Amino acid sequence: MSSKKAWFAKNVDSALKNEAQRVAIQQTTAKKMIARAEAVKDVDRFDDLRDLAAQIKQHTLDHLEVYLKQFADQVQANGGTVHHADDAQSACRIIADIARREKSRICVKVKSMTTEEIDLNGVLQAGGLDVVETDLGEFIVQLDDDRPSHIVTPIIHKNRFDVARIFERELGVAYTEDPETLTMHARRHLRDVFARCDLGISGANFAVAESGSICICTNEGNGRYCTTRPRVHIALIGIEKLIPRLEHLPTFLKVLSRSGTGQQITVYASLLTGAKRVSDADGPEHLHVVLLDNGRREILNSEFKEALRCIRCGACLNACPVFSRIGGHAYGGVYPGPIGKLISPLLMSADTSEVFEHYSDLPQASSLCGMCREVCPARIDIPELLIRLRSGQVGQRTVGITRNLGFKLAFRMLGSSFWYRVGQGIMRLGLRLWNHEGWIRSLPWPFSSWTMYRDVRVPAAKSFRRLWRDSLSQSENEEW
Amino acid sequence: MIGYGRRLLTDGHASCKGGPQSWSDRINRFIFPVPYLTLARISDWFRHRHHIAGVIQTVDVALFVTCLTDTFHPRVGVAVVRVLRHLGYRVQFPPDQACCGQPAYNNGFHDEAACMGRRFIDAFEGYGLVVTPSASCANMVKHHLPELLANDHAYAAGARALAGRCHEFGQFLKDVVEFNPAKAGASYPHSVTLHYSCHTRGIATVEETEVLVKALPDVDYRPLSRMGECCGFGGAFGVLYPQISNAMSCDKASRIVETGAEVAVVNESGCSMTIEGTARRCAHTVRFAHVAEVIAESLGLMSDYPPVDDMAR
Ligand code: SF4
Repeated sequence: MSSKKAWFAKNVDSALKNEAQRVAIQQTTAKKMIARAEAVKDVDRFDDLRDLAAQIKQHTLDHLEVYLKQFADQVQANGGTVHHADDAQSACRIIADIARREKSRICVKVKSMTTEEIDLNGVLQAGGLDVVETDLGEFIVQLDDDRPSHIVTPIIHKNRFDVARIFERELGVAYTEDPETLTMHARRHLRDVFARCDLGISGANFAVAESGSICICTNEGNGRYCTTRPRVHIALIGIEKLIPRLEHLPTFLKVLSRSGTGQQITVYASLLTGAKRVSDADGPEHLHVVLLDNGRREILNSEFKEALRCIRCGACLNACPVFSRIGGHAYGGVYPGPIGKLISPLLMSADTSEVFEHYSDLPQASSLCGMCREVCPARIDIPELLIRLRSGQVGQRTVGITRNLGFKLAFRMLGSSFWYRVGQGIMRLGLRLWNHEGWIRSLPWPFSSWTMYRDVRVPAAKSFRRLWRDSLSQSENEEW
Repeated sequence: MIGYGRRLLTDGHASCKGGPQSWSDRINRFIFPVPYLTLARISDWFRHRHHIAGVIQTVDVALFVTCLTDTFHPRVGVAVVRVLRHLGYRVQFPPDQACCGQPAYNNGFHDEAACMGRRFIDAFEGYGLVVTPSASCANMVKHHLPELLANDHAYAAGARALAGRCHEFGQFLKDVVEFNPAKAGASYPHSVTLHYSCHTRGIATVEETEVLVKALPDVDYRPLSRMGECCGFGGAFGVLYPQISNAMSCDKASRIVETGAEVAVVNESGCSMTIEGTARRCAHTVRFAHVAEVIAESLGLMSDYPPVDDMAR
């Protein structure tokens, strides 16, 4: 393994050793999966709803430029300003410029993976702005100077003891593990910030083209505070977040929360349209919408287009047996889990071949079990797309020469019945050298990594083929 | 039984052992233009008629044994053959079969996979229904081969046809045979748990597979918690990322042991190799069996072939 790629092995290693983290993640994901299974029951034919959601998204992607224009026009008609950002740098610059122009000092944020993607907090803080995450999970992540490890449940890797320690250390409150008390501490702290903030930054769960509305789903109501209380609201929206019409929204609200958290609907679903009008009691005086590309248009024109249907519900992470073992940080990107394996490399608009090289473990580190496909409300065939990435790696020869040649030779042999039999014979003889009462306890490289953890059966003394030739095929004739 | 084309030519006909395009085949067709009648045909016809009169109609089933079953679990293949024969099918074993191309496809070697797929289609050309004891291989044949060869004029139609004819063993019993173990006089007085292989999902539902096992008379079925979670095999994944894979298989093995069942039914050679190997390493001695073995045993078809025989034979 070349040193460039070794980061993944290292991450996996430390993740698997962190017993407490693994337990925390496995418990939460299992709970969410059970909740999901319950929640989908109360919708008639939930799978049809998923089909519908997938179709609407696919349609939007097929006509994305049309809907983008419609959305931008509507936002402007409602008194908002629209900005287009090609990449992370320009998005950060645009937002930092707005903040400077508006002389903002304290910024409150709604949880948003898109802002994580462009590393907005770092840029704004460097510009002297006070940035406060207001989602409880993200707030804790920020206090601990950590990174979110799940797209919906950012602190899935922490247990309540961790949280208690963080609060004690960072907020100076008395040590307590009681979730309620901890939440009250956070609340008190955040109320104070909300009273003083002058800039709100959010992402969007959905952006409605026909009305220029932005839909934000939260469970804590912080989304409303952040987008109405401050004088200025900036929404950073990935261009794939669009849906055509308001009437499509209920479908997505139904599948989003059921898939991700097992709720029938998120506690708050705010629909924000435009800046404050004269007749409005509250709302931001200025609304800025930043439409972010950052590699998305490239995906749109590639064979991975359907990955953009993702509504970031997090269900595939909860369902993934690999994610629940290694946790989100091991994936090395902003987006972890099955969907992260796809879009982390794809969204890096920099030099692609280098990026693919860097992330080359991600498409490989999957057993292709298909649980993600099973739960995805947007019906993204993630295993199939991972296979496509693998095939791209084979094409670009990033799989390593030994593996490449070894596989090619093996596959050529396996495909021909003659060479298959030859190979089978050699393998049987070979493996029988290590025979230990019918089992093999260790093998030389490259199979040693298999026998490191488990035994291997010795091949049967006679293959099925032999049995068939020797006796089985005849017994049929007798019977007949 | 006057036959058109190839199907009748294959069964029991001594002169056409080769592939569909073999010379004997061509000469046969030339000498006996379609519809053709030969002595062999006529005697065949009588045999068939006899059997149709005896309730069951004979249908040919070609066994696709898969590489892992062939090499490591031949008893599963034997069980499939015996169960199918017991149910009145005539089983054939296309001798040219090798790998269906799944490992190549999954690892992204699509040219190689297409190549293997073509040979595979050739090997099964001219046979009727195809049954395999592996869901992931069935999945390959049913879903991926037709996609992979969609633009290959010579093979696209063949791939689609084969996809339609190919069945996973359990799903074949349920959908095609509508097998009812109680009516068939089966009995399986053992405690059993079931691990559901990931690729079965593309073929049949969890419930279907579970129903088959639960329906065995006298069985003590112990549901496995998180039955559908991957065992960690995943082909090359198990070798390339042994730590992650092992974390998964350990959980799976210990949950199986927790059920206290004597037999763990695992419908896939790959899974069974992985979980059984992990369980062995931890000195657990649960017996792993394919659903075909369990059904064959429940019908009393395996008395001459005890489970340990695979390695000793
Ligand atoms: S890929 Fe599907 S399941 Fe995963 S986060 Fe996106 S929408 Fe949810």
